[in-house]
Amino acid sequence: MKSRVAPVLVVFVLVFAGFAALLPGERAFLSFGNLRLILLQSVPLVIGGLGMMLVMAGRGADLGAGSAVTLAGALAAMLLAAGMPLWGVFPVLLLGGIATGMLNGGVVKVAGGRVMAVTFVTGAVFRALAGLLPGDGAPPPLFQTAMALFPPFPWPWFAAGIWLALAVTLGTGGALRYTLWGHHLLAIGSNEEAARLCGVRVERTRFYAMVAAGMLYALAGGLQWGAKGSVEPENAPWLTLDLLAAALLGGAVMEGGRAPVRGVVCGAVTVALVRNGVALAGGHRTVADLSIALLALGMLGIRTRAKSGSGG
Amino acid sequence: MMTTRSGGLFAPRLRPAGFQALEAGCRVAGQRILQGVNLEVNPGEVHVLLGGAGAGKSALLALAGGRLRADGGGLFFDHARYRPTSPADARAAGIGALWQRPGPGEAAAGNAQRPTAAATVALGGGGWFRFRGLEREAASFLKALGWGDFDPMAPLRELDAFARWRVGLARVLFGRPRLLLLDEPAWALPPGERDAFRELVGRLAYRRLAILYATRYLEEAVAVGHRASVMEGGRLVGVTVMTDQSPAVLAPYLRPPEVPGRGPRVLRRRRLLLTLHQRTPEAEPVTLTVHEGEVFGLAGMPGAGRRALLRRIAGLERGEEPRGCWRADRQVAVAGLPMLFAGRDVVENVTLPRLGDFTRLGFLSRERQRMAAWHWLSGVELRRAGPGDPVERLDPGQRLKLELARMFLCRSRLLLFYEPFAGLEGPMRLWLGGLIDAMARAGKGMLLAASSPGELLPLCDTIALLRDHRIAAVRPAAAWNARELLP
Repeated sequence: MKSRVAPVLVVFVLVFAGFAALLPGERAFLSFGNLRLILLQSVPLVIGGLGMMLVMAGRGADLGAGSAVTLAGALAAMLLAAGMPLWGVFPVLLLGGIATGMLNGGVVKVAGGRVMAVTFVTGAVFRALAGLLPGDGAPPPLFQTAMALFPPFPWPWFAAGIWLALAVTLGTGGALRYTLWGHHLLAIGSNEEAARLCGVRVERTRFYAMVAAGMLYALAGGLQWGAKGSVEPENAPWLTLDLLAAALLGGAVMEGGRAPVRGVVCGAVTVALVRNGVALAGGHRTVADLSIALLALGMLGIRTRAKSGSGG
Repeated sequence: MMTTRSGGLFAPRLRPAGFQALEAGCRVAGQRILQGVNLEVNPGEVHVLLGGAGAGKSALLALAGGRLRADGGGLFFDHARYRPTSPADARAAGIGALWQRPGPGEAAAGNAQRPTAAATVALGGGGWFRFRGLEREAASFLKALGWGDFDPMAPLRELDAFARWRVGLARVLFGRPRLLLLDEPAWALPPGERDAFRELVGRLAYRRLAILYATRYLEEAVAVGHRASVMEGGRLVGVTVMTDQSPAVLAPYLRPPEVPGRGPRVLRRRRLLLTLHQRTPEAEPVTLTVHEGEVFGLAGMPGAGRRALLRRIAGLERGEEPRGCWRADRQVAVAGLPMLFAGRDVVENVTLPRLGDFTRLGFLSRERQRMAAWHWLSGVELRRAGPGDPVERLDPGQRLKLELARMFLCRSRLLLFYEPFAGLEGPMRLWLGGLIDAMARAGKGMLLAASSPGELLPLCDTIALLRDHRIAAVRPAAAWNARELLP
């Protein structure tokens, strides 16, 4: 476990030190407010990245993750605009996440386990749906509070979103470590045939993983909309890149069998760090996209090389 | 003037070249499969690698052919350091290879883009700009090899398995390699064709090709080789020049593995565990049955269909092969196939089939899981591995013990073994043989696939010989002799 987290920690430290050197001064990168903002920006990435990790643990990758997150944000905006009370929005969001996960899982089951192909197509559908929903309108105060930079009492120091991300991280780690489903999911990713032979219900386990991922995307979508106040379906592919990069940086692999929860959290914070640093330096968004893509590719290369070096 | 390959039929593309391995080593998934191998193959020499299953012959060829990477020592080809990172590198350097899996016929048939035999062979020439010319050249090359019994321009899918095999071999030779790697090449050939193949190997060597030839059969080594190196457990244990005395010198190294014979087994109740009916137009109808307490052997060379049969019985494979229908006990456990969970620890690997037994209110108790794993691992005497060790650190014997522990935990009545003795040292072989016998006495039904008669005859009650994915014959073990079970 230690060796899986170590590379992302090195990347994190290098990126952090790089931006700290490039953007000096109390009010810039190293300011308390900015560091807190980075943490806040990582919240949807941590929660969504853990969803991506669950899909990858069973082999494959969710290429429609960003679209599912965007759809959840659009759904939250629409429900509130339609006059739904706030207490009803989050349960509906989670139900929506379950529905998108069930759709993904069901189609993957029919398509014989082709996760990437299926999620690429369903992702396009989710993105189109998000575009159709009226996603405008400012989030209500509770959403804003959940992702506020300086939250009021009773959230000293950190906003509710950060505590929520922490709870989701612990919950996901616990589910993978202490439940039958978690062990079965990792076994499927490690050796699907052997898992089948050991009596694991492969399709059902993968289906539940996609449903769980759908719920996490929905949660991430709601929080992201709360922070940004707008839904941008055209940016969904870049959000997918962020989530995929967070998982890859953290040590998840598309071959499955790995669920490095701590690594993915570090990966998500690193991605948020890059976005924040590039924006602060006045760089264009594409610079951040490119940097994140290169970081993920570099990490993939290092891990592949390490694997072939030890594995022949 | 264009020189055709059929003109200088087997002349290497460039000057003849030799191959050396110096202290070469290799790991696969953390497991050391080759260690400190020193070997030299000169131009015009057929150097035979001899050894049983799991000795490291195929691994050494894979190292030379760019399928594996050396992690120690060095390889040299044509007096220069040679570091292939892929089979394409090896081809570019002038090394042609005929692999055991996928065999030449399968490799040729996988070439869906070029449907004719000649076009498939022409791919070995490596040219794209004058492909039509190469195709015509390939057609004459096939005829020059003496394989005019099929039309070179016929679609590949219309050729039989043996013709496809020859197309695969011709493709390798068409590239005019300087070093030829042959991994158990003769097993797929009909017995009548083996002498012709050996003669072809001799002609290739006469044309100054260096040939590295892996086989497990002493007779074959004596028939084709100039020198022989014996391998065991990933190491090279001896080299000898082939002389009249060589069979006597080499035989002790290749003696059949010691497996304890079975004593009389008394069974009160023999319940039928597996039935397999083979009804095909090409072969005699056969019914294969496995009862409780019975050890049923599956003999045949690699590629004969033993692995496919076991996978199908285990429910891991669907398809036409092996033809027939079967009905098995639902609880089946397999050992010998790659059935471990990479990246997971020993405890997880053993207990996965019955994880539900260690949960309370849906949550897993790691302590109970560990205790159960310890119990079952003690049963198979897996002492050296710690419960938290990842399976990659285990040696072949330990891996097999882990699979056996899982088998016991599954409480399956029908156990399937695929080459369980491969790569095991002497004492471990004895231990496993005794264990199989003890399990049979305890009423387990077993299917044991092994290519060595020395592993099957002492243990099995009944043996079926498989050829070309079909059951060729089924007899009680006492009615077979070792020679009949060799292909």
